Amino acid sequence: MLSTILSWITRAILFGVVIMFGAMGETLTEKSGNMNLGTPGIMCIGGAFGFGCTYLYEMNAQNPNAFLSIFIAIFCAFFFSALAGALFCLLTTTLRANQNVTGLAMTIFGSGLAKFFGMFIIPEGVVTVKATFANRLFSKRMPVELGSGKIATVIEEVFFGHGFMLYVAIVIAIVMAVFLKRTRVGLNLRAVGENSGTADAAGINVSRYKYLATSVGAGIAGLGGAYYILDYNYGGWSTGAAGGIQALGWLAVALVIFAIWRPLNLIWGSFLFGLCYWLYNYIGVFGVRMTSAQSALLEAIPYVITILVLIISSVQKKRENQPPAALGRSYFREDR
Amino acid sequence: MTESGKHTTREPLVRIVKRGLPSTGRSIAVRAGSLLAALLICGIYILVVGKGEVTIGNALSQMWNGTFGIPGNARSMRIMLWDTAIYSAKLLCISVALAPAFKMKFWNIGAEGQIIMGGLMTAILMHDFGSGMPKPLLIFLMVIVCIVSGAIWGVIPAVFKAYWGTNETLFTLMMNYVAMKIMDYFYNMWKGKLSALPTFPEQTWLPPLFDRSYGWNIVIFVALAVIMYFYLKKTKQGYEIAVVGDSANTARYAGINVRKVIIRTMAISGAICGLCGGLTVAGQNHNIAYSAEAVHTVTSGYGFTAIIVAWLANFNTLGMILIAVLIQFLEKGTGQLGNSFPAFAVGAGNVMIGIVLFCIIGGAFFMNYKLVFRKKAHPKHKSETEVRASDA
Repeated sequence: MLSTILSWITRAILFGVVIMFGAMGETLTEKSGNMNLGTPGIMCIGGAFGFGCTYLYEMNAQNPNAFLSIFIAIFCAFFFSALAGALFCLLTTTLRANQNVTGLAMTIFGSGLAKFFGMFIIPEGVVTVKATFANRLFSKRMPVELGSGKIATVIEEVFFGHGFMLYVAIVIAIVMAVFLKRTRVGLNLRAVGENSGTADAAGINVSRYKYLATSVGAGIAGLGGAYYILDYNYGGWSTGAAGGIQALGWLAVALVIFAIWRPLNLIWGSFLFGLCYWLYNYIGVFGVRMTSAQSALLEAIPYVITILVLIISSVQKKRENQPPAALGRSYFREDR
Repeated sequence: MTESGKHTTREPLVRIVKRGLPSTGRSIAVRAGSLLAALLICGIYILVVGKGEVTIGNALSQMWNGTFGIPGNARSMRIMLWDTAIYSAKLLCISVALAPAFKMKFWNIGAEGQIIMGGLMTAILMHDFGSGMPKPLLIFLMVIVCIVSGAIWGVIPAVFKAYWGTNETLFTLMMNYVAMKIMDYFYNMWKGKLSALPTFPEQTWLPPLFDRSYGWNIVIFVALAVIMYFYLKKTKQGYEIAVVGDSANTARYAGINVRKVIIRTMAISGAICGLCGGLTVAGQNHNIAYSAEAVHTVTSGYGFTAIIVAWLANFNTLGMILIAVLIQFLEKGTGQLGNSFPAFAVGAGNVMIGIVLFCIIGGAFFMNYKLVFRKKAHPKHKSETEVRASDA
């Protein structure tokens, strides 16, 4: 019983890390007024390039270096995703294209590019390739021993039984919260997302903020894709894995709304989504038996609660709980 | 772009200036230019990936064969043309459904969900009541049910948008996945222990037209495009949609009931999506689909693709016909390309579709804006643009 609950929590946390990265990136992007529906595609790009580069490294190096392997994975995932974010921004900010349309095209492009790049690496006739070395590094537990008591085991499993990316994600969320709430640059960024015209009049370079926020946001989202492959998926890349990332990408977009655009809410929100997602596997814990058909309905729970949060926050009309006011609109100075 | 206060007298190298409404000639020129650019980039991509063994002409002819059949081969042409026709018509229908909502600036990205609900309710009739009912009654009920359920799925977000300003983009997006999971529930329940869900009994299918059970689908989908064209251009309701889309405040001053227009338009949008789903299940697939599969066969993912089509056609439902066929050409053509050349087997199709879309999306900029380059400074003769720049 206890071990079942523990494994449920562990899986939920692993799952949560993937969408937390995606949602953090999307939050930063949306704070600048850009709604990037290309996030699922960008996460695929991050997954493919993060995995691919570190895989090529460990295949070709005599003695792969642990630090280099991690660095290559994270750097490549971030860099190529950020490039995709910059492309999105070029189209929507400089060329003033519609954000929804561009985002959806980006999702098509990103998932295609990921599958294509993945296939470039996979030798012919093989379905899955594994980056074993990188996987061992990414899934390595924290070196914490708390003795053998029952409570000690629980604490050890829940708080320390995961790879380092969980802690990176939490640190980024906290830093982002402080950045948005407590720094001048963060205030400027929020101003751009709330009312670009006013921000422009106040002397803020709207385009520069949008480009930076969108590119860095896309980069962070891409880390989620890399984490999905290198830890959540046990280091294995396949064309199907890209589809898995894409499905989680939409959940990441949902999570942003659920967290009402606050990075700190993303931390517990992502774990809650993870618990909901895996609920069908562990529903027996509550003494409930379900057919496989009924468990499909359980998978709808994260989306339903997201809708409820969206409705409640808009009906309440609390100003601090609203989406950025200029979300989804392109800014052109000569427009009124 | 004049953030550096020191250089206010110096005009930026390139400025962006808004143009008036695009003329037909400019629209065509811009579209053609975008397609040319896309062809160029895709061509480079094909040459690089194909390592020079695949020429562009070779690739294009493969794509043509995959979409319209091998020229001169009657059998291949018949198969391919019908297939292209039904999928283009389906994509067209969904784009047509989205047109009124988008024209109203209501971002309905929930077409997937509305299609699925329409398809699912029709499927329930076919599965559970198919045998006990005379066929005309059954078909009548199927059509009514799919229209109503699609409309309901579309109206829910519209009501919240109209009364509380709930963000419709995110709301409709989430509704898609709720609908998918509901369909999964029925799929798994009906499938039971079988490996896949068998098709519904033949007496519940739509009557054939042109020897094909999806014949009616093509006719209805194309007819809807024509009807919608006149609805948006020539009727009072169509005009109200345009006014609300341009400015909700103007509409309010003019005495238009904005809430009513939003809800009514989304009911229409959802109803057409629902009808598309119902007809696809009853006439084409005779089955429902499971969301974890690579392609959701009820929607074919067109709920999302149609957004791009509707926007590219600038809400002109007749122009959507061309764009829907272009997208089919890209989708099916790159599929054929992957069959013929293993280097293009996985993902390359979507990469090329993405490139084409980016070019068209980015190119649209030149329809509404133009670039003004800095002219050589003439100290005596200050041009108008320089005066404006120094004012700013």
